[in-house]
Amino acid sequence: MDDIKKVLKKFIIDNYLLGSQDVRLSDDDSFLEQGIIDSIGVIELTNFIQDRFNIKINVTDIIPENFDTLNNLERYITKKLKR
Amino acid sequence: MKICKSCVLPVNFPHITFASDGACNLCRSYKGSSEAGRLKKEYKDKFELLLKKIASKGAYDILVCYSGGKDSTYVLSVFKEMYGLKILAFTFDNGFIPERTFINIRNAIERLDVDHIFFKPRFNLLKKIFREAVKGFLYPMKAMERASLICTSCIGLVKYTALKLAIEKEIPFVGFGWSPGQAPVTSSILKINPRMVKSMEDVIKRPIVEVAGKEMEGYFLNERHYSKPDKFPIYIHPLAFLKYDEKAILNKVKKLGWIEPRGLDLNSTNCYLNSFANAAHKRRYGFHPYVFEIAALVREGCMSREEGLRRIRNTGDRKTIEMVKRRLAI
Repeated sequence: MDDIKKVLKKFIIDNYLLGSQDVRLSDDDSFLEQGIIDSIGVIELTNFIQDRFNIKINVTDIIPENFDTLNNLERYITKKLKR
Repeated sequence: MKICKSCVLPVNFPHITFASDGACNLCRSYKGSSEAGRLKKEYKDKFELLLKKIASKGAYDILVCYSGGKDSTYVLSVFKEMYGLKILAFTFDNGFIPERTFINIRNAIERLDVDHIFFKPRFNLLKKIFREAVKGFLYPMKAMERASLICTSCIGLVKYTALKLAIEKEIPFVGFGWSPGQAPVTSSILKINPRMVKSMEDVIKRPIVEVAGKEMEGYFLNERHYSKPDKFPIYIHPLAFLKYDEKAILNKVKKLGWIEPRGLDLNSTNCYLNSFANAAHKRRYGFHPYVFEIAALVREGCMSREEGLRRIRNTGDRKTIEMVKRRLAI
């Protein structure tokens, strides 16, 4: 579980926060409200998750409840991996 | 000020770090142009496949957000001449379009033989937004890394006005002339779930409505649009998957009767507001709002580092900045 979050956090920090070590990104911070991810970022993130976790993500799944925080993403990916 | 020795990112850009050799963290993690070339081909093929699959049921295949600048003029020609699409071109008039740009627009749409519409929101509403954008913090800081407060407001309105239009007219694609520095190749084809779009729209809409009033709500999507998720278009950024060569682009658009307007800064070919927006952004945040985009163009070999530095050091036309200030009553 922690590994999924760790991988996602690293990707988000590396790609949207330029790899900053001093950035604080908590597990429930909203990517959208904080402007971390926009429409372009969402697609990059989707591509990354598909490749890294070998899962297929449908457009219908790309909703805030699945994609807006680290916790939401982790829950979503875990569920997909169990299927 | 210390600047990356490979691209143009300055030391005061958010979250930037430099290695001992003077290269920034983004340059150090850049995977190289052969990977970029492979991805470009992959996404171009993907777009061409989508075109075959998604036939328009209406009068148009694509709505092109057409600012009248060199890149969107070129993109208009790509969709028309390379792909033979039925186009509706759409220009959002923010009140700062040079007279020459209006002529450029007319020349291009007539020579390419495409339908076109202008949309000009009430200037008093836009004025409130632009004035507030200069003095207030409307959006999350993260958004300010890629564009000025004024540009973010204006582009937000362009994007949602265009989206509304595409849904209402059942147009399956919306095309933009964003450079590869603005839209990376992996995001050159965007299909986003409407529920996600709604959350993204809120980030832009909420502060705009707060500043300019409830009247602004009409410029955004409403429940009627969100009730038609199957009508949401796919966004296409062709300059991310095609070769981006500014000289070739200029040569092409000149053949369409396009002439560069005077009085603009080096980062815009269609908007007087840009110089003022850049200066305000630089004053507030200490870095140029185009620096992230230009750094990406330099990294990808689309622009020389010298040219990149020239563009971010350019302060724009003083007379134009004064004219904008007068018009915004600042």
